[in-house]
Amino acid sequence: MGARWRYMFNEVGLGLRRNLLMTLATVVTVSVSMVLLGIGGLVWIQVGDARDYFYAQVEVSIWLEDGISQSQLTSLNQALVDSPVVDATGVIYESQDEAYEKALQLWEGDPAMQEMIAPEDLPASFRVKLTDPEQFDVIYSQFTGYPGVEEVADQRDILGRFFSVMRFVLGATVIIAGLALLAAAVLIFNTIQMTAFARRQQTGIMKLVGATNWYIRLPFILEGIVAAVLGALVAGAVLVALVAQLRRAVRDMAFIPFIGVEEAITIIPVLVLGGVLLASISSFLALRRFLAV
Amino acid sequence: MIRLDNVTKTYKNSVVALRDVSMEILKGEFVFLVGASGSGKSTFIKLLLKDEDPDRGDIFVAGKKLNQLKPWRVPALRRELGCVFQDFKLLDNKTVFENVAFALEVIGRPRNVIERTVPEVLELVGLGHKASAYPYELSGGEQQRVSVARAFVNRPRILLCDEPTGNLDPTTSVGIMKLLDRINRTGATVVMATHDQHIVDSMRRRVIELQDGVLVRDQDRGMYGYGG
Repeated sequence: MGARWRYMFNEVGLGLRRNLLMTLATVVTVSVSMVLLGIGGLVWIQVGDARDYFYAQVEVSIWLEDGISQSQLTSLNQALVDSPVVDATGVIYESQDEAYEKALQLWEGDPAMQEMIAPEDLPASFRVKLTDPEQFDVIYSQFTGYPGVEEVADQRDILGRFFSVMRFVLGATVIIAGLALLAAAVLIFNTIQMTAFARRQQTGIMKLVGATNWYIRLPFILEGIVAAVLGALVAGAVLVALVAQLRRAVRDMAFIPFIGVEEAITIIPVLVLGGVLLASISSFLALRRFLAV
Repeated sequence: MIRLDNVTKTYKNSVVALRDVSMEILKGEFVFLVGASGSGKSTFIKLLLKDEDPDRGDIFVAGKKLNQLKPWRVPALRRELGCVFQDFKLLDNKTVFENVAFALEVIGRPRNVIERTVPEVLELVGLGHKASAYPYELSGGEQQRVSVARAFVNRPRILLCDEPTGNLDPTTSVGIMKLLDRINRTGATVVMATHDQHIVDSMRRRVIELQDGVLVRDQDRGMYGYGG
């Protein structure tokens, strides 16, 4: 290691220790903002995953009237298969008896419930898979009022509420994360400017003896970067712990795909990179005027 | 080595620091820059360092035309210049050795060069025995010797001194002048701004006088005032 680099590392270490409190404040602010940003990112991944999963599962249910005739049934079936927005292999007829069987299975552990239901209570239905889940409106308008159809129901209604909650959470975390990031940037800016001011005599001499601009600036910038990277790593650890906790909490809902620790880990490099970028930009701005040749 | 062609420098508050100054300093010369406070001596030094830029005129230092010098070239210019100031500008948390070594470290000189040249230059300024002392343990004269050592350790072609004896008593000042004279004899060009009349009169070197930013006298083997 040459004299050049030894100087650099000494300076960075010295600066961080001298401003221990400010460094701590920077690390904490960066971690808080990064945790929020990470949560935002994970929610986004989660929403995407869950959406794909649910939309792949979700079907449109077309409930049939009790007195539907065989010819009405055949014509309805044909109309569904012919519809351009329907996945023709995904049209399934469920008779009242089959619905009853399913209900019995659903209430397997509850004989009282099983007693209460009878086959004639449950409507027969068509379960229809759409080629594009967004095309529900087409199906709805085409088959509402169709002979023998009681109701066209979109199971996405329930999911819609779930997704709008998720979107709200996502938006809120991103806005708060943005504010926290701004605070972190201002803190880094301020710390660097104070450090540069405290060491102005030294940097003044460096300029006089012909040290290059980057050589003078780099220790300050590295100081900000080290603090930001530490913050990002802390944030990464917190996120991994949060996700692990979440996984334990939703163990019973294993049928829904939840983000795992792997996603939390893959997001860490993004946070570190973001931290480096944040620190570089704010310290560069802090030094631009102060240390010009 | 140094040439100014019709150089004018006005500060933002419209104070004219230098007015149409033309002059040339040759390699190996020892030049006193004299004049009252505010006559433009410090501005002159700052212009040579490219710490300030002139409004008009051309400045050449060590073969470089400063007007056209790109900002990233400025460090290379300053490595050919050594600077000594009235207030020494030493770092209090570094020893004598470290202060001088600092000038080499920050321009990326290798450790073995630093370990060879720093003791040499400390010996030259007569402080070989105080290498591990801190600035506050030294007298003013000794501190200025450290500052000279730092300015000269990279063997610059030009040594710029802004009132180097301004904070020192007459006896100590003589010591510093002897040192600068010795450095001049190694071939370095020395430009020294001063208003220390005794020093100028006893050295009998070229004298350039500024008055309100105008060059009013350029005299070989001159005195501080007229009539030398």
